[in-house]
Amino acid sequence: MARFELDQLSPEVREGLKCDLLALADSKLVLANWYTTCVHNGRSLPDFAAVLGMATTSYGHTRALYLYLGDFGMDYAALERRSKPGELNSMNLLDSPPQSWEDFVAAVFLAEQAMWTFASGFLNHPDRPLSGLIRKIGEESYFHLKYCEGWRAIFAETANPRFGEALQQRFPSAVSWFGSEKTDALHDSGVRELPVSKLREAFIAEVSDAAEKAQLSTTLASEDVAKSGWELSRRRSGDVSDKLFSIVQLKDAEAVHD
Amino acid sequence: MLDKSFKDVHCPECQSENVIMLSLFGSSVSEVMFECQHCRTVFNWVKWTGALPPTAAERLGSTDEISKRKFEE
Repeated sequence: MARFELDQLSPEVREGLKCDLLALADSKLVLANWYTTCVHNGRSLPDFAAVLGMATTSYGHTRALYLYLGDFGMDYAALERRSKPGELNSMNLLDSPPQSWEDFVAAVFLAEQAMWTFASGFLNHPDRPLSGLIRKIGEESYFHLKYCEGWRAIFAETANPRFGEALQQRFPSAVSWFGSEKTDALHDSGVRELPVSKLREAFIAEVSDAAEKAQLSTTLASEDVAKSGWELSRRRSGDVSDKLFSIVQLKDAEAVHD
Repeated sequence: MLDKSFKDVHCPECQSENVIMLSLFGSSVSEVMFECQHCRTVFNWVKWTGALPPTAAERLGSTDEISKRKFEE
């Protein structure tokens, strides 16, 4: 096997890979902040432990991805210190705060599932540091998704309709993260195992299956949900709100790095 | 019924496999908390077994060899 070098990639593919990893890292960052912000709404002490645990690992994923992005010439400190909402490329799904515990679990499940499905496209990436990083993310996401599975079972047992409603409402936004492109330069160049259209298909199948297993009477929107203004380079449309950015933004950032 | 992911977990005190999971995240992020139903011992189990959620390729039942081919000499 030839040693993988980023320099081997065409500028288009290299930029695409950078953008996709940044979108993943930024989404992990916002998700981690969801966890820390919502932990006090946990229904039990195991919830508190789990939600804080998932926050810790999600911050870890963000840091690891930011560090990897150094290979693309991006500066870790600059990534941490972003100063404007327009610089953050997190998924639209996490823009609107949870309205209830059921909505929190639905959004977190969709975000975790979307991010793992997307990341798994790089699991066999020829760059070993990246494939190793994705494997580690997967090992931890395994337990994040298991946590969501536990709550889905509880909602099904208690015939709680609010989870299904929340899942249905947030699903189009979750799918939009995958875009609707028919071609994928990263796949064509061998950098991604499957084209994004296939990752999208896998995500829809996974969520549909989970909804069915949880006996949720939920019809998931199947139409093309890519919003107008959706940017491939950011995997989102529009900017995060000032309020969300104020939660994510480092406070007194100048004191953190020299 | 205990999740199949934990089929090898047993009590460190009495070796019983009759355990229940109390918390997916135990004293630390890397541990799952269990309780032995035989001797009531509460214990933490280090969770890393290398298990991954299904990948997109597994989910679709397809594998694409392009990535492997591209960088082979």
